Amino acid sequence: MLSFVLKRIASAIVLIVVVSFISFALTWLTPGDPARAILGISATDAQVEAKRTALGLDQNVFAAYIGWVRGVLTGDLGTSWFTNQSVADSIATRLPVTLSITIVAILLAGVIGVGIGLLAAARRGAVDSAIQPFAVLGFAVPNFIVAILLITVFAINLRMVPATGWVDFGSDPSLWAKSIVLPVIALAIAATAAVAQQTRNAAIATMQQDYVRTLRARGLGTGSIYLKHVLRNSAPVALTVLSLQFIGLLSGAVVIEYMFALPGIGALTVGAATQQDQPVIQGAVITVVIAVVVVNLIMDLAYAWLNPKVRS
Amino acid sequence: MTVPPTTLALAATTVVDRRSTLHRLLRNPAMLIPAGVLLLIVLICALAPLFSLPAPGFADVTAVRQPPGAAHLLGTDSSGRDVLSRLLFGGQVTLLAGLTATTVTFVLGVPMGLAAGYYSGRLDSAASWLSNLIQALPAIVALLAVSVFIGSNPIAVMAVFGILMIPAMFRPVRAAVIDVRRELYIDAAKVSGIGDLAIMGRHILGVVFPVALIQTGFIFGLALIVQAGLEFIGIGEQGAASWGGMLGDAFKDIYNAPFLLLPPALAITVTVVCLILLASVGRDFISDGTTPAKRRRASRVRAAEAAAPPPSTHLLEVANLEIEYRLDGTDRRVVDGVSFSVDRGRVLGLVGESGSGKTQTVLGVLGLLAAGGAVTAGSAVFDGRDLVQLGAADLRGIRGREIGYIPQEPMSNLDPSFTIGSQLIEPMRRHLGLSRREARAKARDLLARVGIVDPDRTLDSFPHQISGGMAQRVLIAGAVSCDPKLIVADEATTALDVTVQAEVLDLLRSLIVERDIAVVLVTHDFGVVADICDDVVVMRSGNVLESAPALTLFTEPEHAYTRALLAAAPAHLSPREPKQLDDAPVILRLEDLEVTYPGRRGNAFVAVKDVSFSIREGETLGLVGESGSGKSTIGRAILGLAPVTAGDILWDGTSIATASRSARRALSSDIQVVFQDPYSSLNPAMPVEDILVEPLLIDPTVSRADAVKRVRSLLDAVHLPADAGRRRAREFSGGQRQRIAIARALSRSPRLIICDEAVSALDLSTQASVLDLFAELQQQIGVAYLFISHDLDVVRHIGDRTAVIQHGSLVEVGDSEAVATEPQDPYTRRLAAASPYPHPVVQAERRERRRAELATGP
Repeated sequence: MLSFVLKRIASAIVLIVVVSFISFALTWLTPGDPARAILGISATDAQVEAKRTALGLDQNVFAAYIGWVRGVLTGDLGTSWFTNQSVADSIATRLPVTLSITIVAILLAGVIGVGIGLLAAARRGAVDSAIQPFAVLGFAVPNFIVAILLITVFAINLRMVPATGWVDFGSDPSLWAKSIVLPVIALAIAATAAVAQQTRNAAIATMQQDYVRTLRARGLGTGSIYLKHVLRNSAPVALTVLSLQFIGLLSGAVVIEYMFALPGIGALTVGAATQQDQPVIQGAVITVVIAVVVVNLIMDLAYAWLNPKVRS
Repeated sequence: MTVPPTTLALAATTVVDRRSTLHRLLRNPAMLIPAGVLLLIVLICALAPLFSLPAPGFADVTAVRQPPGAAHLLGTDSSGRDVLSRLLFGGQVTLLAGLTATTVTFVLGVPMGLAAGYYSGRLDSAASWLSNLIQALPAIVALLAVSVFIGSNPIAVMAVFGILMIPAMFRPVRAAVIDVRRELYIDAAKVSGIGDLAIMGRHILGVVFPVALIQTGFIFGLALIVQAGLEFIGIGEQGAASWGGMLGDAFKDIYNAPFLLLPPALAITVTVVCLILLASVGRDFISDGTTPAKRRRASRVRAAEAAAPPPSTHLLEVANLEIEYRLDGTDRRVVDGVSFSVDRGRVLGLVGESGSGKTQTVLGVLGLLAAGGAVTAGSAVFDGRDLVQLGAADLRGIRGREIGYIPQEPMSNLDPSFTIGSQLIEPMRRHLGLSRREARAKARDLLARVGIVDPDRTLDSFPHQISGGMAQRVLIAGAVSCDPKLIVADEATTALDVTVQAEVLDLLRSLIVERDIAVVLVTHDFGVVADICDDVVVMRSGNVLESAPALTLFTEPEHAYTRALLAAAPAHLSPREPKQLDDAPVILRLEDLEVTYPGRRGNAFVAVKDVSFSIREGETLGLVGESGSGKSTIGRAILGLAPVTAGDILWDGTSIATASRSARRALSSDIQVVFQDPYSSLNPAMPVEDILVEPLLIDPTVSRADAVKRVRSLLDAVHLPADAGRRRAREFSGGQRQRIAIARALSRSPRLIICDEAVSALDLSTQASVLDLFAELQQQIGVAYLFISHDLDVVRHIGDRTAVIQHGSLVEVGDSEAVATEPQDPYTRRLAAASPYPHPVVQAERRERRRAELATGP
């Protein structure tokens, strides 16, 4: 078990290093001079040269990367090329927004998706017939179109919730909930559909196993068979889908934050991308990858807890 | 160049396969409609320049937000641009971008998956590592980061997206390849001397192609969504028309002109839904089974008359039981009027070949039929209650409590995620109302009773940590845990080695006496019947042929079918007639062969150690051993499918232990193989003729016409009808498939055929006739056999000499008759004594002798 966890942590660290290096190195590989872009055409060559030195662009890529990593280890992600604001600070204020919507969405998708999937497998019938079209639509209708529908109906027509804006959980939990309800729904629908469908398929495959018949032959009740044996044996599939869906949610959050004017990591990245603000993008990428790694690690641990073969 | 015949055959077979799958797909309306809609969308966008629309970028500031009308069919947007024009020209950009991403993914992902799956090892580790790395990146975040440096050209961005989607192609393709690679027909093709590329082309691409096509649909859909998403948030070429950009513009104007959202939203949604529908339908099509549309209609047709249970003096009395299965709307009767009864302290054997309905009968009695099956008539009165009429809740109270059930496969019948202890305790707590502590104490006693040495440790073990024999003991402990009156045992010892089987039968016998239990034992093995049954019911195709006390059945079988079955029992097969082979040249010699499989963390597993024997021309050497003895590994080593780590294999005096691939290919005409599983050893989708022609066409001088002629004579030699060649392998029964596999082995006139448990999966009567076929072919063409089997009796019948293997080493080699009648080695003696003889009186004597020997033995 311990070696399993250590292995996962090691591979997570490798992943973070590789991704951060590639995204860092892109700056050096791109044609054009960022310093010139920042200062504009009117700047003199000497000014541009000074700016290059100030940004560290005159170093070779490996030296610059190592310098950046040193900074990261002390909590310093550099400063924005354009606003001179600390990247670590702006990420710290924006991370709670992104995590609020993605984590609530993934939890909802897990609970509701597994529930519907299990119900469809056990009862078949109408729930089961509906799950396939639900999965197709969940996959095929982009979250920004779902969001447009939600905004039109609930924010513009019914005026039940604000269309845009963000309230911190600490300042008012109920307003916080109101500010994330539409974004969370827009994000969670696709993930829920995927989890429901995969759980259903896994549960049906489990129910066809010999040992389920043997459990029935021992006179066990339907409830115990489904909620204990079938659920436990289908859960690894649901976990795998959930960790993949979480990555998808982080991607989807970029668009959703833009639409609901939520000041999250996604909105930060979009702004930095249009301005070509390299340190900010680099900080955002590394933050998102760490979020993926942490969630995957949690899923791996849950998987190991469920599967005795991995544990021993 | 001398390849053309093979290449031609390759093209021919793959085309046939693909066309038939496509045909079936195209007849499916769920496929046709989305395909038609997609085609229409693509056509309209492509033909946009022909419609004389205003330019997509032309803004008429005097006509903003116009409703649909004659001048602008879909109206104008907030800048006064024509919506229809932007939609169609934007569609070109969007679709082209999606196509770019999909092409990149396909071109990179498919070869990567093929290579990783087929060659495994380091290549696979590296490719999988790369795939996992890419998969951890949220696509839009990564694209934003990259777009800073490559600019916002949608084609370039989508090419990068194609790279990010590689895992979506790589993983399923790799998994499909690994699945196929496990099939024995790939091994068979390798043994036939067919090269890697040809194997990939013929057997693997056919399976991978549909998988890749389906993933392409999903990836295309995702690409459109992501592309639209990027344009929506303003990452894209400024001002250029695209669906995502239109949606973004309209969203900014949502309060003034919400209707402008509709055209781009519909265009994106309809296109993607069609793509995903196509892909989903295709996926369900190849994975057949668990989708709602195709699932079996389960309808439980209860016997209409809810009469009072007929009075019965027996513990269980089954009368005129009928069971039907409904599959795709048609009912099929699998049990047709079966009657029998059993009393406490007695064992009833339900005997028959596969398809006789014996297992369905007992599952019907227990109310455990699979979805779609139902008892349609008859009764099963147990202790005064008719089980057929009881409701689910009442039945649950009886199952496990009053009727215990022992299944066939020990390993697959324990839940892998729970400890043995929790699985034993759960029913006891439910039925007997015991506390956890009491139930655990009782479970410990039970495990000790069924002969498990360390019950406490076993209670805390998971199923994968114990052996098959132990698992079967655990299942027996579970069956008797609530003191049932009746036990239903479905082929309870079939999956076990004979020595373990003998012990488990002894255990069952003592439990029956000790607890006065009635037993219904389903089996195909007359040895087991003779060993333990008091009464026997013989079944065939859902009917009872005869029922009789065991002794009567064995001494005076009434029905011709019963007589034939008894005669086909391996113990009753005639011994091999001695042959003079001393002058025949030795063709194969094994010298101190050792095969070691590399294990995890340097724990190598020695499967075969110091094995030496030789085979002469025209000789049959039987190789007998229990599961895990290494007997199959020896066969695979000779075929070049297992690594020889020490010793040598000599063919005609030349070492072939480390033969190169080309040397192997040359050998393939001399050494052939017939595997155990006739279902996995033939590619089910290939016509039999193509399967048989494949090895013949390796020789470039053989024309296809000659090869087909040869196939006809081969089919004749294995007694299959001449038209068998045109049908696909999946249309044949197990016995017929094994004949096809034999024909394939014979096709290039080999001098040695390795028969790896070649008759073990077959029913008794089929087994006897396939054994006859082997003997007949040997007489005709003088081929030698290495006949690998777990059954001493089968080998005694077919082998000139017998070699016995235990734990990877030979313990005894000698003339078959001598080994069978006067075994020298103690292990061979135990093996011979454990195999039950199909006659109750003889078997009772053998059993006593075995017990006496065990008692006095070391």
